[in-house]
Amino acid sequence: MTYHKPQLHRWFSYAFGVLTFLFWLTPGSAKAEQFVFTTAWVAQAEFAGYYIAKEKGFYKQAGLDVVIQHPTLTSSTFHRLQTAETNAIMISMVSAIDFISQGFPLVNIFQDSMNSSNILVSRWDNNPMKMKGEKVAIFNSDPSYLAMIMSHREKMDYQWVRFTSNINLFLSGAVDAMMTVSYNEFILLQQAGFKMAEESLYRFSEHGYNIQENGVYVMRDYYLSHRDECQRFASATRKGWEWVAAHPDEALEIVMKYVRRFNTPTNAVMQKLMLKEVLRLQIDRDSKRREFRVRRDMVEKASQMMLECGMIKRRVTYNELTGQ
Amino acid sequence: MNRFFTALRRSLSARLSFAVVLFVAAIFVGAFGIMFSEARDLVSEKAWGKATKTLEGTVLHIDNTLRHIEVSSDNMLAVIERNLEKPDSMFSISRQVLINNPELSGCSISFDPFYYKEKGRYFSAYSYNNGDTILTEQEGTDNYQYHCMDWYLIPKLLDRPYWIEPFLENATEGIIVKDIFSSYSRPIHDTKGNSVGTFSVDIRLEWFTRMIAKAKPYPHSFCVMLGKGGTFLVHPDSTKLFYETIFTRTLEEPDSVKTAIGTSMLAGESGHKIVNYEGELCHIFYKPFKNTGWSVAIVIPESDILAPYYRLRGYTLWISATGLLLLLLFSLVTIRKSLKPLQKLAETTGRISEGDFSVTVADGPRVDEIGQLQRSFTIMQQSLNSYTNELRSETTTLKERHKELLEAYEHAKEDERMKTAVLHKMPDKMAAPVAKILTTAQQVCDQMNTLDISEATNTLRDNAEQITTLLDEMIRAAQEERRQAYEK
Repeated sequence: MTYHKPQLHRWFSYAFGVLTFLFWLTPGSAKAEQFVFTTAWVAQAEFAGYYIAKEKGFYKQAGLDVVIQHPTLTSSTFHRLQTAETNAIMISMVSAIDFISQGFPLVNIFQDSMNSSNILVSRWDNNPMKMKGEKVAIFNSDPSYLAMIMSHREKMDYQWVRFTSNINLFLSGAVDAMMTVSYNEFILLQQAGFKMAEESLYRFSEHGYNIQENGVYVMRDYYLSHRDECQRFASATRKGWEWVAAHPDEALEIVMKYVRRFNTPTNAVMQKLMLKEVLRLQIDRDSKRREFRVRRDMVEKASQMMLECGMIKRRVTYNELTGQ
Repeated sequence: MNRFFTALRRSLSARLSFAVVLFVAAIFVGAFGIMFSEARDLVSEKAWGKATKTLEGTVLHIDNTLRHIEVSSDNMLAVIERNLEKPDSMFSISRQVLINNPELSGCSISFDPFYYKEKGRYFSAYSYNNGDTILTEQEGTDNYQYHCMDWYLIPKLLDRPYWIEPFLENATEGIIVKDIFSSYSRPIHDTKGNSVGTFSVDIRLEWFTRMIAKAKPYPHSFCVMLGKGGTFLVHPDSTKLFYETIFTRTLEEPDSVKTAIGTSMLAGESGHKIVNYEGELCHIFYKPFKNTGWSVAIVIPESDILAPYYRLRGYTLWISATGLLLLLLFSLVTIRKSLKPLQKLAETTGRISEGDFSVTVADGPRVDEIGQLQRSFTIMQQSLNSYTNELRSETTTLKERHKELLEAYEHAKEDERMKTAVLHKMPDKMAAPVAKILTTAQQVCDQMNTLDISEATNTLRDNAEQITTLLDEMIRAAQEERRQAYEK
């Protein structure tokens, strides 16, 4: 017995060493890198793919410790990026073009939306194209560039009223129209029992303004130094969205968990409808598939329109936006 | 069931009892139907009155309080507008508003960007009453851009006072307020009449909830308050509170009644509707607030409203059912007792029908129809018995006579046969004496001289006597026959 004991002890030591080495080699088991991502808005189904990627361990498998943050109603996500409070933010493509043109080099690392969700809704059941000079409410957090472009090009000369959120400003009658997104305010209006005739709606995607919306952006220098992390984040996020599309009911339960955790004033019906619409907007009109990519034609079109309207001083290219 | 009906068919008393009970039940149904209908209407009317009164009381109380806030706010606005040149005084005014109005939780005196150039883009004097102390700060920052908030924008754009829908602040710096509250906001004007900012006072939603929760006219009734967008501002189900509107569920499952109620409430109408709420019929009485544009509704389960009616109906039905049952038993016993003589008569009749005419019919002291029937039956039975006895006696006599007749007939037949035989034999018997007489007479004629006359005379006499004897017998037989025929 005294002879075997040292040998057994040594064997266990070797085994422990090998196991430790293997554990260290496994990507999912390694100490994951922290990656802070700030969504475009408060917790809601619009970000289901990110929640799922986190909850189902897709980020962890990609070696990332993703921290999902939500902005407050009045704070700017871009401000968080500037102050390095976050590694990545979600903003619309036109906002990104605006920032880039202003000298803030942003790079798109993941594209959620393939279509425009913007709808201009009249408060008084009028045709928005016949509301010249009227007051139109637009979001303060991510100004409705498309509405401004349309107003400029169609010579509508709308008076812009920047507001924070919700539909109370619109329902109060303080404005004559409001910019909505089909997956949020538009459903909120339906939920408030507000009747909307099709003539009182201006769907931008149906009038030559079908421009991709939200995507995930990082600062260019971060992108250049963390290209691999960004790719892993994009890949895991895509996996998350694909899982959501395959399991919408289960995804909704996870969304509601986040909604409750962050105390978002919403409900399951609203989130279900939102998720359905967000998933619809992810399907590219041409390929009929979820592509999660920036379309060159849309970048060029948005950049051209913004340039024409004097919103930007120089054209922003597809390569610039995608970090190529 | 068949056995029951068979038993019912066989028993007159059961049939009569059931007929009586059914008749009485039919009268009950008619009478109670009318009574229940009237009672239901009365109870509903009473509930209507009670609910409406409670609702009006609640709305009036809240309206009065809100009116008080509006008046206080109007008074303070004058102070603010008089002190526009002294921006720092806004902090003390803001505090003073909360000191004077303990029901208020917050007060903002906010100005347009760069209205006070020295104050920069944001200048909003905000005070908050946390229950213990009043905190004051300048609340506008890049992270709290109040210029874009509903409470700032709406009254400014409308250029009139406005009750803001309840909201939850998400401020992450400065005074952190976790309450859901509504604001009464009105524009601030400078001496030239230009809108330069917004004066806003906050009242906690919890205050409305507390006030409205007091309106509970029935044990299971509850109140619901809707905001202008149909949001549930007060609701017993906290999961719906603030996060859901009256139309939310209808987006998935269209519900015309709920939609109609929501539309009517949001249109500022008062009314009453009956809906199926979570499987139970409920009455909804609703009424708008004058000040805020919100609407409050009392939801009363019909079971609560009609509880007195259901109690009355329950008692009545129990008493009626018990009464009918007792009536059935009483009828059964009474009728059965009354019909007992008939039953005995039926048994007696049965025995009589079997031929027992001598059976005794029970006699009773009753003088009613059954007593009369009993007596008449007794008399009839006695008469029948007597008649039957006579018949029986006569029958016996007839039988005996018949027997005698048969015997007589047999005798007559025998006599006839004998007479026939006699008559048949008589000529033969008489032939010999007659022949003898003729022979003797011939001999006398022929042998007159020689013949012994005496001897011939004797011979003639003997034969004549024989013939006479035979003739007598025939006469006797004829007489006997005639007598018998006469007797028959």
